[in-house]
Amino acid sequence: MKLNPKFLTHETKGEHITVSTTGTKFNGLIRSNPTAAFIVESMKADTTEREIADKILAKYDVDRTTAEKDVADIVGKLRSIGAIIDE
Amino acid sequence: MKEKYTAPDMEIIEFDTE
Repeated sequence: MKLNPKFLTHETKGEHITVSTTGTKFNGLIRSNPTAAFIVESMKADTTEREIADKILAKYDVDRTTAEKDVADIVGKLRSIGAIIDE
Repeated sequence: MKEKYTAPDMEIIEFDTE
């Protein structure tokens, strides 16, 4: 899975924004805190939920169960608006 | 030293085209 290339990301002054462009059923934007932004950025290349959780475990002080649950929650939200494609 | 973990938070804002 990876971030739909029709969704563009932008970061300014610590605020991470993902915006839909033309050709998506979702018309709007997504505002992410730093951890959610880390997950979104991790999906710019083809990856899996487990790989993203591994990256979180390497970077943050958190247990695997929490990391995997949080990744699944964010992926579910993004998938619901068509921001994730499966290759 | 790993960074302090904060749960991911995401706000989805849908534009109202109408």
